[in-house]
Amino acid sequence: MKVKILRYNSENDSSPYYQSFQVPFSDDDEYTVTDVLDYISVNIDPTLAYFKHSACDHGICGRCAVKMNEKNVLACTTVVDCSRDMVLEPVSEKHLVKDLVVRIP
Amino acid sequence: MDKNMVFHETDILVAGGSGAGIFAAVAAVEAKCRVLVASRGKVGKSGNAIMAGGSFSIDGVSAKKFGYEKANEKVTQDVVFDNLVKEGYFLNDQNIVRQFVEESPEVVHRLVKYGEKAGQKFDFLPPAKWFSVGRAWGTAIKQAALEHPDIRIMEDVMIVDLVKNEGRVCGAVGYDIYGGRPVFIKAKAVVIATGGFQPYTLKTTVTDMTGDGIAMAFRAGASIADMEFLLCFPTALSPKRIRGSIYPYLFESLLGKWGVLPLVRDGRGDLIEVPEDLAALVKGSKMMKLVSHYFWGHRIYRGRGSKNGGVFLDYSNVPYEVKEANLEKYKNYMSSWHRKGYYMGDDISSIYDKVLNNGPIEVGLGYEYSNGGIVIDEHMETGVPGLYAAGEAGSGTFGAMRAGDGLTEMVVQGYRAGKSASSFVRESYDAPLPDHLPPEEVNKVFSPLETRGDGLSPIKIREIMEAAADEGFGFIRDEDGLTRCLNTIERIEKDIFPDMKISDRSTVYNLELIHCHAVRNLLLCMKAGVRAAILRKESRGCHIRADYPEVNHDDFLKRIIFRMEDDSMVHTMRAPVAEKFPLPKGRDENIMAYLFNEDHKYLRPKMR
Repeated sequence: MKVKILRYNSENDSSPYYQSFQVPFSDDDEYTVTDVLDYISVNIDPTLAYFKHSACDHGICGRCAVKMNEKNVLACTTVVDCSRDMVLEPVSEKHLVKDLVVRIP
Repeated sequence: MDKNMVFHETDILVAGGSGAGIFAAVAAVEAKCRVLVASRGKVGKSGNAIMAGGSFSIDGVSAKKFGYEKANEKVTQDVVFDNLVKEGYFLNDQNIVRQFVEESPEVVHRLVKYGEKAGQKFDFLPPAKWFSVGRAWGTAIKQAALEHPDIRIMEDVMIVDLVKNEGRVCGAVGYDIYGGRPVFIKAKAVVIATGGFQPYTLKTTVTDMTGDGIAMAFRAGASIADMEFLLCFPTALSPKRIRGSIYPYLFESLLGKWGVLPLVRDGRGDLIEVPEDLAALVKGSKMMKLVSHYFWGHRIYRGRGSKNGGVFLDYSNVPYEVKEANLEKYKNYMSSWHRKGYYMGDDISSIYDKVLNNGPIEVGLGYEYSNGGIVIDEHMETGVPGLYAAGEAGSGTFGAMRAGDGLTEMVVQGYRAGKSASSFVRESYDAPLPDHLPPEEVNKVFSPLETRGDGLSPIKIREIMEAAADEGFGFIRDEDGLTRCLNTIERIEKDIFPDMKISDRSTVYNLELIHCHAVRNLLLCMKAGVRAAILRKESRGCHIRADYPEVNHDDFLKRIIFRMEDDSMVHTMRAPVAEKFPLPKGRDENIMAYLFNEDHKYLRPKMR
């Protein structure tokens, strides 16, 4: 599946840009958005920033929200449709820290 | 000195913002000390307390005194003590068990009251335990913090290392994960409350249980022990989206109590049977976890697991009507805490369907707790002046098998550590804090960003470590597998880690940087664990060796302890502290035969 992610690192980038990743997941299992992000982080681009510190991965801490195809979801419990492309963006432009990471006060 | 450096000064720094940390801080402010909690995540929403299911307990006599009519007074503090030590295979330090048993009622009851005040539900069940879920305990911990506004809290801060001055701990360095600024916290005493370590792929903990506090304390001169004992239990394996959920254990303990117990089959479909007398002996106790570990683990070790390394639950042996009625009862009970069809945030309705319609349910053994950690005494002192440890970061409470509650340990030791640190600060602290931080300490925080290696990212290195732990340091161990695992650790230490590649040089929310520190800590813990597992040529509690199945009290009823000497990790062995019970002699055929040994007078299945 193709995953398009909005990237932005204020130290290097003048403005946000989309980057596409090819992730080899198929519908033989049920993967979450976090599974997709973990795959990219481990195997393709370790610089990708998404919420992943002291994370529960089971919808308990509620801190991993991202925008998936225009809809705000918890990354760790939201199952992805491997048969179609996916766009991931941060849930808030105003509170953006880096890539998909936001810090909402 | 980094101009960005943020300075704080306090009497007591608490590293860790879950139950042990917040209860240490509560004790500190009650003793009129200044306290600052540095938490890796958000208080109430991080640490392993939020991951817990099931219950936590005290003794029945104390519960009755608190007004819980259903409490069973036959479960005295003596009974709790006996079970903890015997089910810990006598490896517990009994002075620590005594502190746990005697001091836990008050502190645990306080946690319940904080939770109830914050609107959470805790269901009291005999003999003397409260059933609830992680979110409720997290909220209770947060409430404890809110009711003590003098506790200063820094959230989303990663502590990297302790700082020492003239032999005493005088604070810690770290950084703000989101802001990317280095932090130096000067303190007269430090309490480590950062939890345990998990080197495996399948775990039920938060994502970063990398033994940070254990490793930091070790580098500061503390000893660590029992690192070979890691507790696992039935855990979701598939589908991938719920991997790591603890619903299988809840099914086993709750549905099982009502007679809905599945057959367990290996990867070929053959039954994995537990002898009836053993099943009866452990029913309703935490020893059920060890029984699954032993029987499932051996089958998986022999190459007979499912393709994902687990087993299958098969409910075809239970009549449909019985399953339907009890599943409904189960769902109704759990709906006090969860959306119907969910466990925590995971939709498990497809699993309910499989129970009813006899579909195979693939589950595995997921790791939840490390018995090992920093060596402490009953005052939570580490032996390094000014340094205390509490909860899962410590060791000695549960010996070789955690038969008691981690949540109880968390608060009772946290509170005691806060009290002890306060006494130290108020009564015996006499050395001035240094004005300046040595440059090498400042550099530690962001030095990984200066590395110019061309190898693997620290995120990839962690994956390699986890695969090595699964393969050689897993459920059932042997000399070859452990040696291979140790070789991998040493290769990572010598070659892979020094050549690590960090692509992102930013200090702001940098997962490579977080992993770099975490991998260093996890590597240290894992090395101690694997070395201890090689040294321990016997089986005991949750350390099970295929090549040494006997429980060998004569040679190995000793804690394996590591400390730093001239920059290397050296080990010693010592007998556990035996206050009430003398240590047993002789051997048991295996860890299950141990449970039937009349000499240990263990048979108290209804007393838990």
